[in-house]
Amino acid sequence: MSFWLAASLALVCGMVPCLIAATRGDELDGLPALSLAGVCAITALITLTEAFHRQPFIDLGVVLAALSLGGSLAFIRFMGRDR
Amino acid sequence: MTARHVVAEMLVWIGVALILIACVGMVILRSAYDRLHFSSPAILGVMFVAASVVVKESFSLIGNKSILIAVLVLLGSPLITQASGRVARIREWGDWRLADDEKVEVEER
Repeated sequence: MSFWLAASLALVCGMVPCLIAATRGDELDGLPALSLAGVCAITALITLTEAFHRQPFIDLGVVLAALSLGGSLAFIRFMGRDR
Repeated sequence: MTARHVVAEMLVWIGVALILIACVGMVILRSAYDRLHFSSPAILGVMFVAASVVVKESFSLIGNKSILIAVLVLLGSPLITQASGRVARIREWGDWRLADDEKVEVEER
């Protein structure tokens, strides 16, 4: 196993605490965990690109980085409007 | 094993360690205000991983795209952190500005 693949596995495992944190407390407490899970997924896609030498994975990472930002901002906007 | 390979491996593990520290911090701390602090090590982690790809691949298509991802995360995460903090304050106090009955010591200069 290359170190890139090991790093990908570590990052995917890192998403588990984020999932636990996101499900505890109210939705606002879970939002930082959700955005960190997005960062984990983006970084895992970068390392998977190197592990398998497949370029489409990094394209997914670029799209996910842009969508994760937009999605989080939309989520925050709706939470602010909720009050 | 070349020096470039060793440096890339070192950078990727530093990056992964920073992101994992942030993930553990999310579980340990409960409040949104506390959790927001952990976006900074995660940003740094992504930058380290992107740097490791650039070290290994140089400025190829993959290297350039990993830099693009690092820039997107670098610009996006503080924005999300600031917006989350603002919404948290609005939900808690009704306004993001300092309330009159809020006990915050402000040092006058």
